[in-house]
Amino acid sequence: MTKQPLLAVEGLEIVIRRKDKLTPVVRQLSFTIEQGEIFGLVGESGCGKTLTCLSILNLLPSGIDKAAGNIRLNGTNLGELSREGWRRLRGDKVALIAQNPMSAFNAIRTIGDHFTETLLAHGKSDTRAARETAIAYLTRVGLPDAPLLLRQYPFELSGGMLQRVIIAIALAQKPDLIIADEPTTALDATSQVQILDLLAEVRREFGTSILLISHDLGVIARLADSVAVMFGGQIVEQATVAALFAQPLHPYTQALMNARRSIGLARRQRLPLSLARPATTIKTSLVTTGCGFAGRCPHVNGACRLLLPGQAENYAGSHWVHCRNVAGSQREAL
Amino acid sequence: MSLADKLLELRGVSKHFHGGGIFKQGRRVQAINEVSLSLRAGECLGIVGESGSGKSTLGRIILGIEKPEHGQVFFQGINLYGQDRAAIRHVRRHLQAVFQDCFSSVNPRLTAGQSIAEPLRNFTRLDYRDEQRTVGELLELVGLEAEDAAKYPHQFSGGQLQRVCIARAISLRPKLIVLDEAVSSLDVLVQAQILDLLSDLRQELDMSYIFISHDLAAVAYLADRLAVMCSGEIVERLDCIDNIGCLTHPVSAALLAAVLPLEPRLDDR
Repeated sequence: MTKQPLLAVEGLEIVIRRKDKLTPVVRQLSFTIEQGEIFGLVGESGCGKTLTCLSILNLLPSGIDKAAGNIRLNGTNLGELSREGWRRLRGDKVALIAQNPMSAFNAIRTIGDHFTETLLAHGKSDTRAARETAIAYLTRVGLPDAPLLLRQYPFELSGGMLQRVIIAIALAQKPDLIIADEPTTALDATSQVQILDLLAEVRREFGTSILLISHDLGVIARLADSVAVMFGGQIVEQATVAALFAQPLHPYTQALMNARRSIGLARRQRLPLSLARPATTIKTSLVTTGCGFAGRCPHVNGACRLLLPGQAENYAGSHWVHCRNVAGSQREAL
Repeated sequence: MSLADKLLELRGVSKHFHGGGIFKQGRRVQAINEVSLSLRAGECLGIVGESGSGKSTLGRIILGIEKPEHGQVFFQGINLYGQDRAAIRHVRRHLQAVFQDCFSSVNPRLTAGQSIAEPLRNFTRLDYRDEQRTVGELLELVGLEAEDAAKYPHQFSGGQLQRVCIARAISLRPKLIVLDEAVSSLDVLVQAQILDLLSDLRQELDMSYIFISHDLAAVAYLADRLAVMCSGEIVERLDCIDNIGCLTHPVSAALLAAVLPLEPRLDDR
């Protein structure tokens, strides 16, 4: 018996259209998320993480198009959905938690307005029932004095509180999938931990799958079950969290980890940041020949510059990596 | 230690704000309460705290742009809020800042080169060619290229523009730079690069930093000493950053716990 994954993305390609020029920004991206799984997508800014999650909701900005690929949610091909179908899906089956909670709200409407708008749009007919649901979920995400909160405006709440409100609104529809795009980047350190723990609790209690997008491996380590590392529009390494952190194979993953370790508390054990410090300015645009990371890779050889990295090399079961020279980078890591 | 040995000294500084709107008298918020601290030349002091703890207000007071109600701020022995305007202007050039949001701290209509040249024009008399040469040198010092001087802010990435802001801050060879959340909005790789750059520049140019952040990990990377702030007061001080594990105040403990380890937590799944 093969279990059907909740979300399956196959061969996703996203391009930017400018007049008659097409620039690919996401290439051949495939991954699946199981029921109740937290899947982490990690990479630096500009690598295509956010575009990937926007394309799942069909919210790509104009001028940026999905050129190829299938996205299936519970077996339904999302490419065949009508406008009405998308409307029913967004906010109901799939909820989005955006990076900056301050800009996700309408400044002149109260928290209560936001709540009832979402609930009424998805089938609840009664404002009073919506209000009660709102109070229940706001209390559930740990916000005190929910009735007062419903009358307040977004500017009266802190960033951490607003992010909780967004999570509460998302949960109220009992979605199958929550897409959390850098949910804690705009928050301060202590509220970051609280929000991550809240998301973990949400998953335990409601069995919701979460697509967690972050540039911080610390966030991924805290929350995710499996991870895909993205670089230049492609997944370069994918593994379970335990496997990835035990043995990162791709040189880019190793660079990300070194950057985090060096900022970490053990100052005397600083690692050299040669990888994180390219001689020239970073270019993450896609290259058509050779490996996209070749320009920054310490283990680069001739083949890397000329040939595309080999097909996903199967390495110990579910752990795979897109690299011609895994042995070389691994020697370094050990 | 006499006043002259200290680069910066704050004595019993207090500042409050009034909350509320235009029409209603809000409650009084004590942003800074009786804070005293001092900094020797060449030192880096980290100031950490949760948002709203008053750490940014303290930074602004140190920079001389937010007048405290009580207390004095001495920079190189000069009272920054005193009467001697000429002396204040003279020391002001040695006091620079780098802020969190680099896009809003540069004028979008000026090229990077013009932004960097502004403090030079204010305080020195260089002819055009010397100015261009200095700007080019500064850009190279922060890891960009001299040709980048002609670019406008929107042509840079966040990390590159933060480098431009750093170049502007060091253009007058200051003695002290206040770094207010200078790396918080950048992604991890770029954060590591900028922290490395700051650490190198400090040795090269013999500067002091006041590094304000909510991220204890980043502070630990750069600072020699640490002050933890909560509701406008310094609640804990650490004279040697290596003892960072020994912080005891609940606020410090919360900040320490917020540094996410790179080991996955598999027990609670």
